Parts: sequence; structure tokens; C-alpha cells
Amino acid sequence: MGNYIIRRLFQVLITAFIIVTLVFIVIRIAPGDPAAVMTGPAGDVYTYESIRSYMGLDRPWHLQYFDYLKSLLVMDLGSSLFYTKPVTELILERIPATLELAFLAVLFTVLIGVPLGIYSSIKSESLLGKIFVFLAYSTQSMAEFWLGIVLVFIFSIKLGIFPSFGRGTVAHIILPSLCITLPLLARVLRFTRTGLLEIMQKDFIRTARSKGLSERNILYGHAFKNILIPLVTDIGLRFGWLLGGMVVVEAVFKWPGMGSLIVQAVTSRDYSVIQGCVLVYSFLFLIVNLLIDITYTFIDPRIKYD
Amino acid sequence: MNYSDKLSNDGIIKETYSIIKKFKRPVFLIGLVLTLSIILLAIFAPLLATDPLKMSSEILKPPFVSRSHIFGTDQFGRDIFTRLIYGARITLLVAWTSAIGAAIFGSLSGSLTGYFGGLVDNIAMRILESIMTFPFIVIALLLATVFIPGIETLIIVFTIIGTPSFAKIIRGTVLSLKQEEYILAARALGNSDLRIIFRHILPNCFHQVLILVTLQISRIIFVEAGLSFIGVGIQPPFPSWGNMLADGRGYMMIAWWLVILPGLALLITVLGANLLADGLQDILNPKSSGIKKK
Repeated sequence: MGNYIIRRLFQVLITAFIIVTLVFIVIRIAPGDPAAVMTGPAGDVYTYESIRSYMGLDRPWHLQYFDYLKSLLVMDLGSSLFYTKPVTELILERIPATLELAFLAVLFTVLIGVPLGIYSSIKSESLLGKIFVFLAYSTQSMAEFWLGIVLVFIFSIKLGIFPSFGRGTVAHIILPSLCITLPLLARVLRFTRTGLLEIMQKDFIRTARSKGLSERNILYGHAFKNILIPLVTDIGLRFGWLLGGMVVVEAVFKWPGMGSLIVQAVTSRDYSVIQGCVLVYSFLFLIVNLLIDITYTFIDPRIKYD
Repeated sequence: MNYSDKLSNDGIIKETYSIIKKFKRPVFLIGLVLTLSIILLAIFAPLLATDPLKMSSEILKPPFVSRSHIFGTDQFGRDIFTRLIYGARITLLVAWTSAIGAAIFGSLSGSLTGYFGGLVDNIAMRILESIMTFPFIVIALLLATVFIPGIETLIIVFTIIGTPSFAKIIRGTVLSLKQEEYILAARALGNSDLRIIFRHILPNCFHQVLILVTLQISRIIFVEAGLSFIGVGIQPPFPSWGNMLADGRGYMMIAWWLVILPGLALLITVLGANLLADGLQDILNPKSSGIKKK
């Protein structure tokens, strides 16, 4: 177990190194010159040169690369030209809001999606079960940000129940978390349902039935345990999607998280902020995947990674 | 006609019948119809509609009122129906081209590295896995920002970020196919490695590529709409469902159709692609079910 975690950590480090390098390359091969963008059309050569040397762009590539790696090691992501603040500080301010939203969305998804999935697999022939599946299909095909706009239209503008943007009270978080939750919930519902329907055909379920166990016992004691691993894997894989979907949703609701930060940075071409956000997003995703792999060992004691 | 001819004819009829029966699934058929109708609308856009950029004095006309503007008009008096189907043109062009591009690059790199294995395979897989750790839209944002926004950029960006998922799946299939006896037989007959890959391995991966292409298309349509909504995708005045939503948002209070209709177009298209993918999955991969990682 300990060995396994160390090995996985090592793998994560290698992936992180590749990500860091890829981001460096992409930003450097870009056709636009960041220094020229920041100087603006009105700037003179002197300003341009001083910005260039301030950003270190006048130095050879390999030196720039080593400087970049060195500064990353001490968590220095440069400073934002738009906010005139260190990027690390900016991101640390924004991360809690993003994680809060993501955590709530996953919590709602699991609390609502799994029971609904179980229900629609037991009652797969009933009307309500079919309605759930139909709703799940269509919600899954909705763009989160469109859902956000429609929810704002109904609940903020027409009914005036929830505020349409910002963060602060409980009422503020309901609409944004709802539009991240719904598509994910639809996915989890269908996943649980198909998984259970398939497991219920298996021989060991027939055995359990023939030895006289109650349906309830079969479902929770035998069938459900078997879909936990694929379910956890899937939710983990979706976490990347979740973060991605949240970028635009945060922008719609002006939610002060990393998503609206990166959108703002994209419109103002604030390269150091974009670079910092991309790195942090990827690391979040890496860490979540690592945690999921470790969770497996708790869900299924048969899995031993040595 | 003698007896054996009749028998083989019957066999063919029976086989065709069973193939047709296999495809007669509501999920697949609904998905196919939705997808095909959007594609047809997009292809015949110039015949069905006027100029998507033409402004007129009839601004913010509600839908289903006037015959010349069946879906109403926007704040510049442009016909919404026209803009929607021209938007479909751009969106589908981007989605199909980049999904197919990613399928080609992914299948080639996945099958080559998987077949030959070794150090190159290891390094290639590490790099692909690292690309997959970026959230799709975040890397798209990064690339779309550093390059000049537009259709070509979007196609290149989506091809690059789509490639790893194809490569990974194809590589997995190749690794298991490599052990099959018919591959051994092909090698014993003296076929070259490349011939084995192209004649014996890739055709057996085709159904998986097909399913992944449809899934990829719905994914790209989402991300493209998101990027255009933020302003780094398709640039106005050219219509895309994403930038139509962004434009219409300011008029939501007085003109609901400006945000509802592009969103519905997006919903129908993505629903079609999702249903098609699920249907294909059921038909072509009956053994695997939703529980496996797609």
C-alpha cells in the first residue's frame, strides 16, 4: 500500500513535469509576442524592450526554461499585469470558491443521482423510471452555461427567488451548483442504472435469490457493491469535465473562482495568469485521480497494488 | 435455379434481414434521424435561408409570427433561422473535421506505438496521458488564446486534444489483437508489419473508432459553443450558437428567443450525437455495456 502510493506519486511527478514543459512550449511557440501585446500599439521601442527584459523574453530559451522551472519550485507563477499582483496570490484567493462549487456539485450528484439510478433500475419498466431515463438523456445533452442562462432567466428574472450572480449567501450558490450538477447527475443516474441492470443478470445474483435473500439484501449487499468501482472511476474522470464545464458557468454567474479568473485573463491576454491557471487546473485533476486510485483499496479490499 | 442456389439466396436474405433488425433500435434510429437532419439543414443552408449577415429594420421580431422570419430576428434585424443553420454549418464543420482528424492521427499513432511497443511507446503514452490531464476546455482556452481565433484554429486545437483518447483506445485494442492467432498466421505467411497493421489490425478497430467519433463530436460541439460564448471561438459577425447565446444574453428580458433557440439547437444536435453513439455502442459492441469506461 505505502509502496504503491510512493510509486503513484512518482508517476504524478513525471506527468506534472511533462505538463509544465508542454505549457512552456505552447506559450513560447505562440505567434503573438506577449511583450508586444502588453506594450500596445502606442508604446515605443524603449517600453517594449524594457517589458521584454522584465518578462525575461530577451534571454535564450533554455535559460528561460530553467528560470521557469526554478520559480515553479518555489510556487512563484509570475505576476499578473492586469491585477498587478502575484499570480499565486490571485489563484489562492480564487481556489476556495471553485472547490466549494465543485464539492457541492459532486455531493448533490452522488446524493441524488445514485438513488435515482437505483430506483430507475429496479422499476425499469415503470413510467417514472422511464421518465427519469428520458430526462437524464436530455439533461446530459445540455450545455452547462446555457442551462445557467435559462435558470437565471426563470429563477432570477421572472420569479426573483435567487440572485443572478455573485457569491456570499446560500442563495447565491444554488443556481450555479444546480447547472453544474444536473448534467453530471444525469450521467451518474444512467451509469448506475445500466450497471445495476447488467449485474442483476449475473449468476451470483441468481444464487443469492435462490437461497432466499430479500431483494433489498441482494441489491445493497451484492449488486450495488459491484458497481462502486466503475462508478467512482467515472465520477473521477468526470472531475476534469466538471472543472472544464465550471469555467464557463463561473463566467456566466460571475462566480469569483478560477474559472472567471482564466476567462478574464483570456480576454485581457494576461499570459502569466493563464499559464498559472492551466497548471493549477491540471494539478487539481492529477491529485483527484491519485486520490481515486487510493480510494479503490478501501472500496475493494481485494485490490492490492504490490 | 437449382436447389443450392436457392439456399444461398435465402441465406443472403436472412442475413440482410438480421442486419436490418440489428439496427432497428429506437435509440439508434432517433439519434440517426436527428443527426442526419441537422447535417442536411447545414448542407442545404444556402437554399433554405438568406444571408446570415444581412441586417434589416425589423429588429427583435418574435418567432412564429411572421412568415419571412419564422424564428424571429435579433437586435440587428438578422433572421434567426438563417443564423441558426449557418451556425450549424460552422459548428458541424469544426466538429466533424477535427473528430475525423483526431481519429486518423490517434489510430495511426496508437496502432504504431502499440504494435511496436518499446521505449517510443512508453514515452508517447506518457505525453498523451499528460495531455489528457488538462481539462479539455482549459487547454482549448490556452491554445485558442495564443493562436488567432477562428475556424482553422479551432479545428487544429480540437484535433490535437482529441487525438490522445483515440490513441489510447486503439493502443489498448492493438495490444490485445496482437496476441490473436490470425495475426500470428498473417505474420507466418510473411506479411510485413505495416501490412498487418493496415489490413488486419486497423479494420478490427473500426467500430470502436466510429463510436468514439460520435462521442467526440458531441464533446467538441459543447466546447466550441463554450469558447465562442467566452469570445475566443468563432468571431462575430459570423454566427455560431455560442456567440449567438453571448449576444442574445443582454436582450434576454425582452427577447427570450435569442437565448432559447440557439440553446435548443445545441441540445438537439448533441442529443442526436449522444443517442447515435449509444445506439452504435449497443449494436457494434454488444458485449461491452455502459459500465465499462467509454
